[in-house]
Amino acid sequence: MKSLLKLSLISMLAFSTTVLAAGGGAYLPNDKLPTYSGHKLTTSMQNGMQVYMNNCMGCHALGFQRYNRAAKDLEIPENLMVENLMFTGEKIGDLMVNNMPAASAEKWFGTAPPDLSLIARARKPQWLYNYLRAFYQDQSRPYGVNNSVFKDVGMPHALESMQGIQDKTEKVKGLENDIDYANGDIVTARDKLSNGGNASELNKMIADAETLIHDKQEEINALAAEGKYFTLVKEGSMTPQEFDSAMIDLVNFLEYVGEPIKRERKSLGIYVMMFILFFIFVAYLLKKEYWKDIH
Amino acid sequence: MSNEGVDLEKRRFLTLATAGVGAVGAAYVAVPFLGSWNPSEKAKAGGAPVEFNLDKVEVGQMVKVKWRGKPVFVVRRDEKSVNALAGKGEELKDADSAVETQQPTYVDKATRSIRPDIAVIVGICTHLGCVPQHKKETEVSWGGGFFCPCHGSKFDLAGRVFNGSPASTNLVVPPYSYLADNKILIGVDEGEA
Amino acid sequence: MGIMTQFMQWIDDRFPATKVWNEHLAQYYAPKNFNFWYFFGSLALLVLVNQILTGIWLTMNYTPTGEGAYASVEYIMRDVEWGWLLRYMHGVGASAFFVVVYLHMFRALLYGSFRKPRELVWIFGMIIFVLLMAEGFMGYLLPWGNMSYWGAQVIINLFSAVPVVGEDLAVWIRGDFIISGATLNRFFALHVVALPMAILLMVFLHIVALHKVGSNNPDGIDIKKLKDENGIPLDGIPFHPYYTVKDIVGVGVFLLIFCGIIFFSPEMGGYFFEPPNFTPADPLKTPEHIAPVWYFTPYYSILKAVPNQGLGVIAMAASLVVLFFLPWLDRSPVLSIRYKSPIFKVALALFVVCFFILGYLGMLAPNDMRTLVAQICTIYYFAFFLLMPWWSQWGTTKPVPERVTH
Repeated sequence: MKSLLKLSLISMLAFSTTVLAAGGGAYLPNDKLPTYSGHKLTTSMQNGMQVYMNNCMGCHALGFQRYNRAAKDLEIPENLMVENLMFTGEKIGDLMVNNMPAASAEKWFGTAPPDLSLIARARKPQWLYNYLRAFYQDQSRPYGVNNSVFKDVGMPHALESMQGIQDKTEKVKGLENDIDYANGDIVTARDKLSNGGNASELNKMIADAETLIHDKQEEINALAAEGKYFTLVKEGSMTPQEFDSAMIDLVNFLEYVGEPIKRERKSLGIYVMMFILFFIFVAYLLKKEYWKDIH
Repeated sequence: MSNEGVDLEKRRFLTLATAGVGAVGAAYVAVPFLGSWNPSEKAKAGGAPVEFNLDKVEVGQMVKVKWRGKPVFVVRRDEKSVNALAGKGEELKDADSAVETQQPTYVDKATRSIRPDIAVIVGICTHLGCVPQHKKETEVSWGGGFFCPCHGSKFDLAGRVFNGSPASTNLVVPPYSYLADNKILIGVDEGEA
Repeated sequence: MGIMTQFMQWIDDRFPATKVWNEHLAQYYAPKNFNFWYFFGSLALLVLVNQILTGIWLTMNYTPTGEGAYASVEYIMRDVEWGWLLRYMHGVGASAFFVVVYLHMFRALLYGSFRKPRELVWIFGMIIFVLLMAEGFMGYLLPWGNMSYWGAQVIINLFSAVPVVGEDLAVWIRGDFIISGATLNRFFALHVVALPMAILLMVFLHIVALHKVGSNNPDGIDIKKLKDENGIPLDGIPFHPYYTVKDIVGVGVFLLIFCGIIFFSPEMGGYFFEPPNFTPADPLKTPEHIAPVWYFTPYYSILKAVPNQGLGVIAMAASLVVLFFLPWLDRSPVLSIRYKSPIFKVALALFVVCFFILGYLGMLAPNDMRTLVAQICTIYYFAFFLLMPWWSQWGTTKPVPERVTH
């Protein structure tokens, strides 16, 4: 019985650590989001809120979050919050909504800017961190920018003044070109194949192209891992390090907004676990005492 | 199964200990269930202090303001009706506002207001919670004030209850304070704003 | 006579309180060799109580309308004092319910607890299981997230596979041409009123039937055959206090795991609360990948494995229906796996593997390889049950002892 119990505990743990890989799909770059805790996290979330209020709030509401809750949880005094972070005369107990009319917003951007209250739960924080840093110039897009994490996103590069403008490095562009050509080859070969072309030759072509794509993709992945996916073509008001740090703050703030109770929940959980352990201990003694009767 | 050598004392102790720890646990479990009945953040935000501009009220008129979801009557009284308030002792149950829970300490005992001309009163009858109607001096024979349509309680223009009404206490005066000559803040005590 | 005794006498003259207490607890003799697998019945009862209580409390702040549902859930999560805990208890509780029920059912497979004379216990249990699935499915729509919405869309569209009237049937179930507030409202009514009542009734019948025939045990021996001079089974012990104190320990361990998940990882990496459900329902935009919650995925896999909509629906339904007939499919001379032939052990182990694979594949987007594997597992799933009358008689069984091993 003990081994069974252990087994089920272990499988539960394994279950919880397994991340559902399906869905999201791969994206580049995929830099790791550093985890903060304690006071450092609080400060980071405070900065993040400032970044958000100055740059994002105009379009993206946080319609389930209240100002006073954020003030309490992020340890920002309410009067400071009113003076520095609330721009349109809201009350401290109000929800963080904005005045953007949804219909015209849809006209401007193709889709209304979504409310971001739960974005950190719908998308993972690390995805957000990379998304925010993945705008690059692309003249084929309406705002002249595209995003390598969220392809053809309708959003302009709102943080351009901070980050500047980046572009894919020549190496990455070259490799992506190669992949495009190889994909083209595959399509042509498949076409010929269905029209009765030489099967063995065409199949070899497809296999070769697939190997090439795989190899080139590996190279791109390696470049992205080294931070050589993008290069800055126009400087912003921040250095890349400062910008990354601001984005970590912003994501930490959004993660907070996604579930304001999270920190409190975990610290409360420790007491709950200790209490239950104590209960198990007493209950086990009782069980052992009674089961002395059973032979 | 055998019952020889059973330490009954130990069993009783362990049973009580388990039951005790279990009861404490059950009490903890009850906390979220009971706590969730408290006013939510939304309700609390709705209960925030309300600013009101007195310019909206003409002499002799009443305006209803919503504060914590309750109607608050703001009445601008003319000099004649303010003077009349002082001489009504006999007809009223509590002319000198002796019941402390019904008004803040900083209002006048007779006019039940900070400034004589402006009355601020919660428009909820102290009998069973209906909303009284504002009656002008000219409308009724008893000198004007508030009349509760549910059970006929009568209050004067300071919200004091008349003898013979089912209600036994005066209407409540909410905490309020002056931000400027023509602006009050309902929900925040005088001196705290 | 003490005042307490007098009081109980007064009650007993009017209501069989002591009689019920004795028949079902103090003088209900259960085999003394219950093991780990016997915790899950009482745990299922505990989770049921948890679901009912937290469910009642959630309805106090939930708004069952298309316009208000999503926001009201976030209102519970943020604005209602302790609302987050009540919701996590309910959401994690739903998954916990299926964990304990699956383990409870597996116990029956291990020790032949569905065999004569416990056929009705099993059938009532199966009805509870099906009701529970309906309960879980309808409850999942209520948060009105995008996964709620599209999950319900896909499952309700299964009914359109019914010949002739299918399309009309699906519209009738939805009350609209798409999933809408009307669908949400009727699911809400069924989820909070009708199905819980049906489940409670079935749980009552399940226990009554069990106590009529008595509990099975890991040896699959009938303990009523050997009794002492007082008519008490030699291998039986009163449920109370022995199994009450034992089950209390089980409750403690369960709560440790349950609360561990609630407080430290309520989403369970996306298994208990799926990320797309944190976006509001959008009839114009399907999530990138639709997967039901984990407890439905084995059956969903069977549905996907059949390359024909109508047959797929039939296969999925059949995979549940076949379980009802289990008492008559198993023809082995012994009940417990302990004395069954090695063939049974291998067959059951393979079945567990297939069930897990089906569950896993149900969460993933299909491709050729995965579909093939799912098809193989589906075939095995049905072969395991439908051919059981034959293969359960193969091989040699071990002799069953007279008394339970303890």
